Amino acid sequence: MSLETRFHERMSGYWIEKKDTKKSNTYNFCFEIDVRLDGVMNLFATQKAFFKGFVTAENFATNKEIQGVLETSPFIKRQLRYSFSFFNDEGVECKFDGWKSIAFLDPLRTWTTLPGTLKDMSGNMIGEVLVKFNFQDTFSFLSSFRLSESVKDEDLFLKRLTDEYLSSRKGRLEVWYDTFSDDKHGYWIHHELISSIKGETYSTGWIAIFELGKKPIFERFEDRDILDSKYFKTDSVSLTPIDRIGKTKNIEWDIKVDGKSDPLYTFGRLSWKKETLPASQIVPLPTAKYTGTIKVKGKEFKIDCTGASARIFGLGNAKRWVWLHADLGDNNVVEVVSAVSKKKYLENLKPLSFVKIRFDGKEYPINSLLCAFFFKTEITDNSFRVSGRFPRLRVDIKVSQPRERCVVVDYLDPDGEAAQCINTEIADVDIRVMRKIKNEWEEVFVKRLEGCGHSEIGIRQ
Amino acid sequence: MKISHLTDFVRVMLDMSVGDAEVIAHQIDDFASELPGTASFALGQGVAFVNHLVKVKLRKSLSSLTNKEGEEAFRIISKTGIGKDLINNLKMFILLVYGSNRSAEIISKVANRFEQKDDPEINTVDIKDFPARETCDVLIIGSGAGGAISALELAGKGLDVIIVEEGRRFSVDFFRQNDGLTRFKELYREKGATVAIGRPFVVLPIGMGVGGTTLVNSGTCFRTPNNVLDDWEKRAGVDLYEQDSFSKHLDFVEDLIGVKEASLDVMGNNGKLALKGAKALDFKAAPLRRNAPGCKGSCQCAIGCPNSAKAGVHLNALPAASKLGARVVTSAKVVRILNDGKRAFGVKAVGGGREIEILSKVVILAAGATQSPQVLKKSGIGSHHMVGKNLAIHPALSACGWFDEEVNSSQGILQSVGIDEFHESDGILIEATSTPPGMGSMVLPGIGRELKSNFDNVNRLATLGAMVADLPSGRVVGKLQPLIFYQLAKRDLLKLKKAIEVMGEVLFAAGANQVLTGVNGHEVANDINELREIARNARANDLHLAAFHPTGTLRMGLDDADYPVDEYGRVRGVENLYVTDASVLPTCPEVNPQVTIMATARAIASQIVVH
Ligand SMILES: Cc1cc2nc3c(=O)[nH]c(=O)nc-3n(C[C@H](O)[C@H](O)[C@H](O)COP(=O)(O)OP(=O)(O)OC[C@H]3O[C@@H](n4cnc5c(N)ncnc54)[C@H](O)[C@@H]3O)c2cc1C
Repeated sequence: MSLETRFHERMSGYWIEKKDTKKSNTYNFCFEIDVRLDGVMNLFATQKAFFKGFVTAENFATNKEIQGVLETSPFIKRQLRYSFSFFNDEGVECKFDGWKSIAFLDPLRTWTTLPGTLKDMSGNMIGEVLVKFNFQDTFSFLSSFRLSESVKDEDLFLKRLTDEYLSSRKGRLEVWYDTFSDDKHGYWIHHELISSIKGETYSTGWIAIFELGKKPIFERFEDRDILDSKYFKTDSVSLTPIDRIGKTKNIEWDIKVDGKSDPLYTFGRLSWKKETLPASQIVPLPTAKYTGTIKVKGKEFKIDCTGASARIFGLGNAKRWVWLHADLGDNNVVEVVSAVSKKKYLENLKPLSFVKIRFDGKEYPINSLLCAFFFKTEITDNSFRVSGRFPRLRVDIKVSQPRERCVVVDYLDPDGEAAQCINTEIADVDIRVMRKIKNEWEEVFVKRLEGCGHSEIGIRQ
Repeated sequence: MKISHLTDFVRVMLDMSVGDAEVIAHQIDDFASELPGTASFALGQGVAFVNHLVKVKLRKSLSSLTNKEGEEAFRIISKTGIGKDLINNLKMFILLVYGSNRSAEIISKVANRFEQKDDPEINTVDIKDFPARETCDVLIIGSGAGGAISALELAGKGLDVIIVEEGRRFSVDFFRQNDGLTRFKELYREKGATVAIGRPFVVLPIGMGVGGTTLVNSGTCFRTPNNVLDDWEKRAGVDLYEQDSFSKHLDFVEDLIGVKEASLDVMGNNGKLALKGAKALDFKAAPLRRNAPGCKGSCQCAIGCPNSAKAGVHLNALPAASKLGARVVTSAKVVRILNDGKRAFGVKAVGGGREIEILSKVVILAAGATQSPQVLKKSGIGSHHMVGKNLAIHPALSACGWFDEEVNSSQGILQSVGIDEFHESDGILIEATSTPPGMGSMVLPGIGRELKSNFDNVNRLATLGAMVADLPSGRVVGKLQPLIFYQLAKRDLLKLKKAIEVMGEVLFAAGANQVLTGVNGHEVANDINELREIARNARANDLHLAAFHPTGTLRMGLDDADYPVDEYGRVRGVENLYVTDASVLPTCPEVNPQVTIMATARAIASQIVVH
């Protein structure tokens, strides 16, 4: 196991064009990066971290992707050095090189001021840059700091499938589920592995097909044993990172999944990797391509859909919960899990709402765990609304799932209690996200999805 | 400072009207205000104290006395030791300003006598226009003798070189258009008022600008004497000084800066009289070898050659390095060598209200022997116990002779003839050196009318200077500001006294009818016996010492314990950090050092490998 530190930083200021020594024009400059450092950040060492992000240099490069290296050595070398390269608006590659120079008598200024230079790849000066950390970003900067275990993609999907793993954790529930849709249809394939508190492990799952204007089709499969130690394989289904194959009484499916997008940690990374919360949900493939066929009593559905493949672990279902997955296209997604614990004492609290929005390569809010306490969730029988107001971010999500589009599924928790969820893969969704830039609220996006949201409302009798 | 007190002092000292004296008093005040705080304070206190002494002794204020009465009063207070020193020190200031005023016209005329040569191209950028962050392969601190040649050597290897220089770039226009005092103030660190503290104080001028001290040095070029090289090779175990290999570097340097024997055509009478005196005594003497091809004998080396003849490194090594891509950041003072305690990786420099940092693979320290140790200490890597110690300065004094004929020493070569009869035996090197009036280490004797008449006759005065190879009796201390301490060794005092005698002999032999000894309180000798007497009895405190060749403060050698810099020029205990200036010379080089410094710098730089 190896650890990694991650944080998000935004620096803004100006750059002075230096190509022509006579004229020197000043323009805005800013960049925003997600930094990943192998290991724990150590102020008393010299460490190298990698980052990805976006840069905007007015009149030169507009919201261009950057990749670079951050060398941190605040006490030894007394500097934090940022270097990255990117392609400008004309497609020419350039590099930024700059460093914060730490002075212990002037920590506030020196930790937040980053002067640097902009050069072309052969080292010719393009301009001088001065960017600063904006103190209004302190909250989001600090809250973006995360320490987590670094894991490969396949692990994300398959982890916790082994018997030893499960038998060592009684009362656990592991879920793999896929939800995908095209214009008219929505599909849901659900795989569950339960290690009951009595010590038995068994698997279960189902498939559901939704079609606008028609009654949803739903069928379960139930198997005691997993046949493969590596993948989820039983007599009736097979689940690997790329396949979903299986059959129930009336339904047969054979579907391939293909996707490369980065995982979405809805509850925050730590909660998944270190299991710091009693339950966590992640979306290893937030935007994936689903192709293949589903046959229902001889009727064939050609599958050519987009969707998401998600994972949950937990101790069973919550007292009350809602879930939403909304695909906005172009790798932009919204994921919401809001729940009230069924644990004693916690059950009277208002719901904790984990919201993760990925839009244009950025994620809002950065620390979903911290923000979870501040979102407000209102639930009715066939709709819910999740909204949040933060110093620099506003989110408003409304979901409506008319009863005729839903299936009602009974769950049995590892502790033997029953729960029920009302699920649809063809919900209507309205989302509005705003953020504050330089004291001005700016719309990140406003979207309405008609009949293609994936959502669920969970209740207990 | 009270202008009225100063005015009275000047009036009496130079036998002038109140009006004239006031003009000079204001000039002195302006000058003093630009000096480091302590110096201007001391000057103000000194003037006040003289006024006070006059009041105590004569029960009258200086302002109420006529010039004649004042002279008498000064003579009376000069009888006390403290009064004598005080008056003498104040006189130095007055003579500098007054001398500069009197010679302003001739200096400007001489400076513009010949057609102006264009300045060669040097890639300079003022710190104001330099990016706050930059990177390079090699960063050099200081553009003087050592720094410039290091830059040339390393730029020649195809490396990206940046020199950071505290001073600014001076053009030949500047030398032609400004009076002597302005040039003096601008070209020297601390307006030329740097001193080594001790008994006596030693005036220690240090150049500051693109070209460092070579901008203002006298252009005398000696190859390192073989006995010195042997000693360095043996004592300090520095391979680099092996005669044969080192002489290749000496050859290169001599060739680069155009070293030639001074021509008799432009030498002027000061040098010729020295030759004449030496010949009469059968002393070894010859015109000096100099790096001043095309010298016109303008005698302004020390305030910037107006004919671009004296070939400081700003005319050769720096333009050549520039052609190879080296850059010079000017008006940028390095305040810290960036390091992590084990490795140097760049510098931080300030200037013009700006702060810049440059990262480099290698840092070369060449800020001069008085500055380099402080830069190390400030950076927290100067903990070796010998850092700043072992300072030799090659102390110098001068003697003048009054001649019947006109000498016009300010027409001719500033430093022209060397007499090395006592060089090997006693480490005494005599050089005929004439400086613009007031700027040399010679203080004209007399007060009031006598001083004035001496001034009027300055053109009949010939000047010799002597430098003695000294023990490393000084050190540079201080983290924020370098403070220089130097306590003349007994052995070296004896050498200096002998030097006064020898200079007197030469001057008398050349036909001088009176010699100015430079010994405080016994300024004039009418014959050689009187001179010997004066020299023998002189106390250290009575000498007017100056020094131009500080060396050794980061000496180079094999032994870890006693030498802060190793035999490859690397600072011990810090990777990627080299020193290539006068600081690394293990002992006093016994001759004018620029060629030795440059050859050493080149030898070190040529071995530097940049990864
Ligand atoms: C009046 C006079 C006459 C002389 N005549 C002769 C002569 O005739 N022959 C001879 O051989 N020698 C002569 N010398 C001595 C000779 O010029 C010096 O020994 C030689 O130049 C020293 O070289 P250097 O590289 O050690 O230092 P320098 O040439 O002094 O160069 C050091 C440079 O570093 C810069 N610097 C210092 N600190 C910093 C900092 N913190 N940041 C950035 N830059 C810094 C300085 O401004 C300076 O430009 C004379 C000296 C003087 C003063």
